Amino acid sequence: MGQKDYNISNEESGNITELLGNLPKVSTPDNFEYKLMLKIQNEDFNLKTEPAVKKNIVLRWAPAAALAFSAVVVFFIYSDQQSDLNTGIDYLFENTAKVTETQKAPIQLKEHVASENSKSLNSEIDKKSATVASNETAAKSSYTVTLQPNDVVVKKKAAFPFDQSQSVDVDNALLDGTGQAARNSQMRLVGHGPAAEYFDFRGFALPTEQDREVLENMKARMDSIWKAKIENSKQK
Amino acid sequence: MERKLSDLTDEQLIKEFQDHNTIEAYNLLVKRFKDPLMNFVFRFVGDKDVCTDIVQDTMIKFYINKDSYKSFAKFSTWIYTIAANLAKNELKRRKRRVIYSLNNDDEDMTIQIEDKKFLAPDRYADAEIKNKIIQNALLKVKPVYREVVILRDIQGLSYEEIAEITDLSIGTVKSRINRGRSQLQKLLKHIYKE
Repeated sequence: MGQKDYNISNEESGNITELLGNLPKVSTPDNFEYKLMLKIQNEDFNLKTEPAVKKNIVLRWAPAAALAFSAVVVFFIYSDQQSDLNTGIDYLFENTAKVTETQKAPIQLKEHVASENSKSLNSEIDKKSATVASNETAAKSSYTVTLQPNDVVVKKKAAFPFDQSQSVDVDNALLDGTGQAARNSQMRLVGHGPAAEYFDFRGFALPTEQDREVLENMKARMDSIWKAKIENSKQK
Repeated sequence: MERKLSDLTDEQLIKEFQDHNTIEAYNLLVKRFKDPLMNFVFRFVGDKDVCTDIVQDTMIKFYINKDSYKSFAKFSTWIYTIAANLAKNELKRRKRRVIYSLNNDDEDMTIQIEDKKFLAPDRYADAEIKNKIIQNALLKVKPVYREVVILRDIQGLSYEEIAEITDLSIGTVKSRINRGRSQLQKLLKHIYKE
């Protein structure tokens, strides 16, 4: 089935053998031995028919070597990019000196209020103490002032203000039904500004501001219901 | 001295050359094997000029590496192995480059008629053309089959000698000879019809 048949008959084989056997014999040129002895006497042993095995070995391993080389190059480039990325990540956050400085003096740096008139770090700290009690100014965004290693003062908006002294242990707050423990302790829910001191935990539902008109309507209804109730009780 | 040397066998001559560096022994061996090797290499490679170089290199290698011959093997086997390896290297080199031979045009054949041939010119011309066709067909056979077919059917070596030269088993040698003949038979179908 599609296989080649290499079996030939004896007659055909004999024909081929006869044909090949009858081919004329080829002999060497007349000056063959003379040239050979001349080479031997001159010690000219450079062979004209040298095997090119070495080249084959090089060509044979060239693709694999190229692949290995490209893998090494890609590896080094990738590792360089990773190191750049890590240093880039570092730049996203303030350096440890800044972070520790912020954490050490959270009240000093975090609660100060941005002011257009503040020009020096000292004046900002003074204003901080004056505005701690102010609820209105506490609602404004806070800034951090950092002193960089090259003695440059940089004022940046705090991206993630987190005051540990005003945080609260939620587990304890929930377990203590009165909420007294949370109120008496130094811990508060995360918030900023003086308003955080008066903030009671009322669950994780987000408070939404109601419309004034709606509130007044509801209050009016409640008042009317209350009045109607009193009149009914009087009539009885 | 020459007569004495000429009576020696191939193995005795090579031993004489190895032990005493007798150049006459070397020359005798060259005379004995240059034409058979030339015939074998020409039928295998096909180019006469290249064949001369291959046979020359074979003899030079024989001269340089005479001590690598071990007496337990036949000398003819050893020297045929050197010639076959060099011929195969030439074929490998040819695969990487294309050779355009001016003499390879069947349409432009020169036929030489020798006077000593007592054949009619037309019959002699036919014989030359036929030999060329056979040689071209032989060159179309796979090299691994061609080698053993030439050694067996042209050089007349035994299966054991061919197995030693090609470093194959006798069974493989016979199988390859059969396949080579089969390929030749297909290529030379039209000659049988004549």
